[in-house]
Amino acid sequence: MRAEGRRFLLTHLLLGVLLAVVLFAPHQRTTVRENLSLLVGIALMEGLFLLSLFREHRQGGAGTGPYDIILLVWALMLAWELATSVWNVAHPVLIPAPENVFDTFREQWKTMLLNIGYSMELLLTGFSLGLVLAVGLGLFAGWIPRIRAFAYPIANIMAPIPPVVISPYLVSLMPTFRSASVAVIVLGVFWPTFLTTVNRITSMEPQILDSARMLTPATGTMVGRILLPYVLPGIVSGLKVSLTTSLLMLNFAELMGATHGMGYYVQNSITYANYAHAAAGILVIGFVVTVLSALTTKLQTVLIRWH
Amino acid sequence: MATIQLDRVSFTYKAHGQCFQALRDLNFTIQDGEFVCVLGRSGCGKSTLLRLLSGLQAPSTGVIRVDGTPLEGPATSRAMVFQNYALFPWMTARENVRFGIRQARGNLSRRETRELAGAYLEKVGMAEAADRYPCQMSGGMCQRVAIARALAMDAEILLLDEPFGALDARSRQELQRLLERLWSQGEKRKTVVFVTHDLQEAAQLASRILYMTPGRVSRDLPVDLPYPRDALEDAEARQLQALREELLQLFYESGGMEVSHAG
Repeated sequence: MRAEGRRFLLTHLLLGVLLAVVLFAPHQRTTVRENLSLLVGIALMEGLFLLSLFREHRQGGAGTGPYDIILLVWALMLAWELATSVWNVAHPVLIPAPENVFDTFREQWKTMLLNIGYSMELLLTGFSLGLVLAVGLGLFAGWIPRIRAFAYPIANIMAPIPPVVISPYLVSLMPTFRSASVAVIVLGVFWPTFLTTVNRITSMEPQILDSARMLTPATGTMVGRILLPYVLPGIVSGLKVSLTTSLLMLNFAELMGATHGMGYYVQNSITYANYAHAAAGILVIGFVVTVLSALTTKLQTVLIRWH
Repeated sequence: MATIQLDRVSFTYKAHGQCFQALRDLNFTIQDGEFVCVLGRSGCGKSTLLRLLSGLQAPSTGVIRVDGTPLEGPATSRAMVFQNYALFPWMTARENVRFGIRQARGNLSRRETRELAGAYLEKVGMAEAADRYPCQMSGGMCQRVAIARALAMDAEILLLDEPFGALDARSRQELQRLLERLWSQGEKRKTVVFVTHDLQEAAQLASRILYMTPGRVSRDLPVDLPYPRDALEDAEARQLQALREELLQLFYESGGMEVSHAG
């Protein structure tokens, strides 16, 4: 408990230093904007930190808490602030001041939200399409030897080709940019998921398989009530990886001639040398990925209750 | 009626270019309502025999007939209980039983299926744990559910492959009693084929013991004793003791080093 008290004090000492620097240190850089947005951002981070501490205490945790993370965050923010606004030793254009980056959120939140929405729409369409196709076809390919005999070799050739390689071609091939992005994501998700599904079925526990065969289920029942739930844990545990892959695919696709989206936003900001906007966009992408990842974890526990 | 007839049944495994004859020329008939224990040491082919009876594998030569009809593949008229329970992990105890009933007795309504599942779970003492998943149950509880599933299917033939082999001594005894009670008190006795390497278990349960040495049935012992066997007295108790000693003798005679620990 005393150790935790010390850590708590240390993190808030560092926070105090950071706040003092932001509020009172004279700025040598002239392009620094109003610091209100930055202060709000710091307050939000501190709030999140306190919330996780509170939660841990309510669950009777060991009192280790996310101290190290928050210490690192404050230290980095402090270094950033000192290097840019205060001493102006970093590159004046390429490395924007934290005040400017955080002010971008206030100034551009509508644009950013719109771009997030646009990206999410493409991502979820491509992701769910790829997943449903892969699992659906994989179940039948895994169960029916005749389908497997031709589908499996094809999959083994197609799966290792990085979708990034095919995507420029897809962008030219598909009628609209939207459909091209969806196709790239579908491709990124489909092959690995398809192979996982087929492999899980071919290596199914013999006892469960025998037990199912003794009940003589029709093919539809076999696929829906036995094979699907059997492969589901493997698919769901790979969900985070495939989601990250498809986000990668999406951002990659958006770098090649999109007119909306988070990747486009960053790309466009860099084109116009607006690095504060670019940095803010990158932070937003990180935040969105974190939220998606947390949602996937939640989905795992809901979808697979029997583990 | 469920009479099982084996006619010159052999089975040969082929693996790595080598053949291994697991069963050689088996000829015997299991009568309707018999509780047959197939007893023998590990590797004598008793589990293979049960797989042939289940229809999961076909004999290399010969025919198995059930009531005169040659057996072709698995059927819900034969229910099987496996050593490792083989419940579906994604279904609760109740759902496992209901799935078995729906597959075997598709003519029942949803309500009848639900009630029947509840009734059988009650019979095996699992009514309270009906909504648990297999991973939340002990081995003994899983095997109770597996037995409930097999019985609820109302199959004429019950096939059990060392069903209590993975359980601790106490659960094993409880489940032996449960199985014996459910079988001997059923309105119509099912035909049971029970594979085991435990001679106590065979003596406790069987109305007939088939003793196997590698590849063949070497002894066919009828057991004409009433149930339950742990409450026998005088002459009958002595008869049971004699049976156990005879089985022990068989284990010794069938040779090999491991036998010194048998029984």
